[in-house]
Amino acid sequence: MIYLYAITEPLDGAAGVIGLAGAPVELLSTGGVSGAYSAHEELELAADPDLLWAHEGVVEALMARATVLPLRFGTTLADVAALRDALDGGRERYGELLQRLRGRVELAVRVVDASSPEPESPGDGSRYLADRLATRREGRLAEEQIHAPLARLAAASESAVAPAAGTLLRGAYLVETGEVDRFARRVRELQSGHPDLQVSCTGPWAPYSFVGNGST
Amino acid sequence: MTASEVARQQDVALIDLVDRLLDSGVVLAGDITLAVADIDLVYVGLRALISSVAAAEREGVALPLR
Amino acid sequence: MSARPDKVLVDPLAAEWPAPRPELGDALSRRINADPEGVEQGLAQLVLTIVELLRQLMERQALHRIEGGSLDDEEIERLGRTFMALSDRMEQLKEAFGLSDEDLNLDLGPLGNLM
Repeated sequence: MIYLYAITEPLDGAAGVIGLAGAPVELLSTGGVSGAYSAHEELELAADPDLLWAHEGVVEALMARATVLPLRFGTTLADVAALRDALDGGRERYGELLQRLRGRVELAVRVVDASSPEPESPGDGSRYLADRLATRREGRLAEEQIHAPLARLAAASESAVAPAAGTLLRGAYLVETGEVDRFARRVRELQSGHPDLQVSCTGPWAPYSFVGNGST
Repeated sequence: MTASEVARQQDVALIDLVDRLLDSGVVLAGDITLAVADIDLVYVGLRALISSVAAAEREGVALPLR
Repeated sequence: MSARPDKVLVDPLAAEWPAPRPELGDALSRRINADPEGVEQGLAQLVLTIVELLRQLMERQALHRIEGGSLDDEEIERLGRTFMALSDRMEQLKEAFGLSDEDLNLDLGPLGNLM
């Protein structure tokens, strides 16, 4: 079986890049794209941070050499022939995505409420809904005050209001590689202007959030 | 940086890593992360359900509350 | 390398963070190592997921209505109690089947995660 890391612009080789379980990363090139994979007799996959970072490590090593469409973690195929089919089948779509993402990276922003009180049992129906409303409202404010200005610095962006317990806002931004520092500075400015919020920014990541929803 | 600051930053980066690697990225047809056939069938059923409810929400159709 | 503090560009020096999903390992290996003996629990997982999804959707609808001002105080109170009760019932059912929030967050592939 093969484990997949990414679809990239045509690359000659991935010499020296090591993937999961110490297996060497190999490339299959067909029709203007390359697929990066490693071959395994068997592979135990779990959401283990070491494995996740190993996957990400491969993706970033490739990112240093070419535009990359990162694959979701955990993708395996029977063999290289199956990969060839998948690449040939999606050639046009992958080609378009690679064009759009060239020279760009993803930055992640997360906003948490710094001043949120200890959650107490609401005790009655109105209170319960009021709490939920408050979280959503705060998330939407964060969307206006934090996400909107950052979106202006990005070629593309996505945001999610109150996506999970404890998080008011989650944002993903596609920015030019050369603009990362400016973006980080803007995040710090926004953080200073909003001491009631905790704003973090991580990256650069490969553009996981900008490779589209549909599968091939 | 202190050890606890490093640890916290590792957590910060890990949350965003997990969000990306497990929730985003290209999904290839034929990917075997879900290997059980009946779960695939359920996908189809759920997809129709989610789409219709989500579409109703978008159009502002009030879903029955009783 | 297994940790990358260099990925953090802006850190608000927070003391508290939403914890990384605790049952992540279990949830994912349940997905990948689909075991035939887990069928009943698998069905429970499915049913509860749908119920939870609908509960969240209805709750969102209710919140829209409250924001739009089209519900009176008594209706709001009744709705709130109902959603609280539903939420409690969900917790009980999850416990009975040994399912966590993470277990209910089915991956819909191209649609992303359920919730």
